[in-house]
Amino acid sequence: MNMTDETVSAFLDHALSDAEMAQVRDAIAQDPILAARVEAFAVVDERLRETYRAIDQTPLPASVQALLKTRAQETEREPSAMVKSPAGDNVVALHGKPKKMSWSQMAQGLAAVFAVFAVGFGAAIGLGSFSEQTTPEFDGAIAYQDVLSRALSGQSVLVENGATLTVQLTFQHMDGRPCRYYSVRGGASGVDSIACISHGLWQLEARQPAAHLPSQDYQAASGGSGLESVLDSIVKGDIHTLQQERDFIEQGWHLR
Amino acid sequence: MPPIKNDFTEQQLAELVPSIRRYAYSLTGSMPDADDLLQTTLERLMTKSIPEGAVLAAWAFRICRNSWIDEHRGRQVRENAVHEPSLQAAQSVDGEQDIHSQMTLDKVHQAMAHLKDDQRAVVGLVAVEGLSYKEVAAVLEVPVGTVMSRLARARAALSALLAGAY
Repeated sequence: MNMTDETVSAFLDHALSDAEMAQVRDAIAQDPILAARVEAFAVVDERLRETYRAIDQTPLPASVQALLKTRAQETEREPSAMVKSPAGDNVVALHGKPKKMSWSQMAQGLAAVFAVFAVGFGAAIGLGSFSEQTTPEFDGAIAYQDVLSRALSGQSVLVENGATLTVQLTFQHMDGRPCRYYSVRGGASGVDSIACISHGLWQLEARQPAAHLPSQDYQAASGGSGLESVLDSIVKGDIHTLQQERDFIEQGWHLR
Repeated sequence: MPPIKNDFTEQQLAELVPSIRRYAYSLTGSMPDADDLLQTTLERLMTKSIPEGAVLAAWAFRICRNSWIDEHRGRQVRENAVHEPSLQAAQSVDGEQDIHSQMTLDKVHQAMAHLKDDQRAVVGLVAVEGLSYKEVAAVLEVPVGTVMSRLARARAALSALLAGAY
């Protein structure tokens, strides 16, 4: 098997067969030049993600929000056009392959999370143009049930008023419940939260206002914060991998 | 294949917006241009029929890419002829973004600007949006092998362009 750039690229994307993946791993272990090539390509991807995900932190233009609102009003007037049965639906979801996460990337992701904490901790409470409400019918249950049940870590979903929700990581609570740490950002303000499943619903465990998020630069925070302390006290084992998240999503987040 | 009505829900559309927006940003290298391209994409998505069997997200990414080629790319070329590309690319996330972050953005935008359009269209979908090769092939209507080769060339070029930049 030739270790071409195409092979390296496909290896990074897990687009090779299991046997080929193993071959590349063996080759990397024995060839520092190849290992450097793989790392260089991985760094490229990381830079691209850092750069282009920065737009998630900026509010949607009013014109786009108005366009979406118009669409919502149109579909309200034409309810029959909104939903088709899954079997006959011509509009299906395209599931982007979440990027594989190396240990170093995971560590960076955690650092980013803690950087968010560091920035948000002690900041004035104020959620700007959006607010996350608890559902009145179930005290403590949060509004974004569907998004938290379906989104993979790293995916950003538009939730309301141009704000985006990004699940940062998923883990098991000491008591066995699946939990997710997520951020909601709208303009220069936002909130970071931890929610865990109780009685079949995502329930709020902890929340931290993050009034300002300057960028997605990965910088380890110095010192602890409220949510960091919460995480330290409730996380059991390792942070879940994307494959584990996929399994949870497919199984409806049933307890294991 | 007869086209049918674009009967996706606003929720489906809203969930797509961040992805399309990031992809638009990777194509244009400018947040204002990305939002213009996003708006164009959404308008076309809402007003044009989706072919039967089409995947909404794939269709949306395709419209975005085609709109970029049709309009924004041409405009960008004209603008770049009279302005410094680095100045076109530089966009601040907010007023307090530090210099290092801005330099990082600039370097990436400039490196991406050196790629061929077809390479740029692929790398944004794979590296930023995490689509599989098969999904990208469906979006761009090219064979999977073409996706692989364009992606490898794009990563190699970006790696060379970004080397030493950090």
